[in-house]
Amino acid sequence: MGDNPPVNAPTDSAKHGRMLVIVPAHNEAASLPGALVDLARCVPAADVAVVDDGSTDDTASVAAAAGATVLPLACNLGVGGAMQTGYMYAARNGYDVAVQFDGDGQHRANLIAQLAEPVLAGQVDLVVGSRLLGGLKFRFHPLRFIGNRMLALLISAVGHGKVTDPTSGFRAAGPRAIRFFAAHYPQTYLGDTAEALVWAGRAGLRIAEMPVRMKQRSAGEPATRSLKGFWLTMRIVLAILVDCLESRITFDKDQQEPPQ
Amino acid sequence: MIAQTGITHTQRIVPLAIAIVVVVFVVELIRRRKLREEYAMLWISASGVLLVFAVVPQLVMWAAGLLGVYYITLMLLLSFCFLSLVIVHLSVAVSRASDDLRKLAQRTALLEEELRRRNKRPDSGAARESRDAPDEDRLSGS
Repeated sequence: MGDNPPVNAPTDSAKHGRMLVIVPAHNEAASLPGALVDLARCVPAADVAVVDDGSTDDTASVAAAAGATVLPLACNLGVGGAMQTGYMYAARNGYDVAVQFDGDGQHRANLIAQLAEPVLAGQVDLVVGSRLLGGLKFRFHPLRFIGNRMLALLISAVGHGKVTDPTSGFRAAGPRAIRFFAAHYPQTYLGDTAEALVWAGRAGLRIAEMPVRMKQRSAGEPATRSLKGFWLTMRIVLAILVDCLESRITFDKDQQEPPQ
Repeated sequence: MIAQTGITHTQRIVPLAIAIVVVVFVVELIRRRKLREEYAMLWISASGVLLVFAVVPQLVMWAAGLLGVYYITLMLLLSFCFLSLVIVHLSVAVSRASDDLRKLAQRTALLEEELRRRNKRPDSGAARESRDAPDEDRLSGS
């Protein structure tokens, strides 16, 4: 793993970049097959890694039957731990871009190529699909919208560029971001998306947002809902403030392989 | 330590000093990443409450009046301090243990996947078409 990633010509890398789609899944045997079919249709060249986050149903076998690589976690680590496992796999196997994709049908597989393009072109290290950019109006629950706005303001204030949709989990990461997230990924319960942005910003990764449409959740109950969601948002805000206390995470340490 | 409104300077300064030491200790633990975020928040709030009580001792008197308790013995205070330290220590230990557990689960997941991939094609394994993994060690020697 060289220190300087090779600078590819944009057109060339867009064609030949190796892509990994990371799908964290916890008891999603019902919605997973549909998502995997979509992925195979829209990004046939990409490898798909389903991280089975300690599921008790047959998520793993469903994913394996659909031809995806399965990373089976022995116990439930939460989305943060699962996502990090996907990044570890991407880092080990030298992928050029890793795309975070939810298996619950919220993200659109046909937007992946568009999302990954700036990363493959080497322009940025991390692209976040934003539901609120470019005149898009995603129908948030009102309280959830307020929470989202609060987090966006806070993260913009903590200061690494403006952010509009910090809770979006639809992201594409380049080699630098893959190596960083493989070594450091926030484990906050349901706060991994927002906090990962803070960490990535502090590590000096180049972050950009891109307007994307998302489907309203089809199956499965939303992870955050009214009062509970508000409490979760407050937890994430606290976690980000705690981050500001912590000793700085520097990127230079992560250029080299983690010791053993 | 009889609960009266007349509090000497020493009785204000010593608790304040203790509270500040606790706050600094907790912040330092977080800075060194010894505490997981959930425990960090717990201890930040706890030390915050302690600080408030130290700054406004009348609150303690008020609470004592509510409960009908007018003094605590030094033994009780000391054992409380001791137990608090033990609990902080346990929080740190649990933080570290769950981080270790996470790393183990992640590593076994990656190993399991690799094992399955190798077992899937016993014939083409000799062809070694996947030479990209530098950390491969020959297990069987053949």
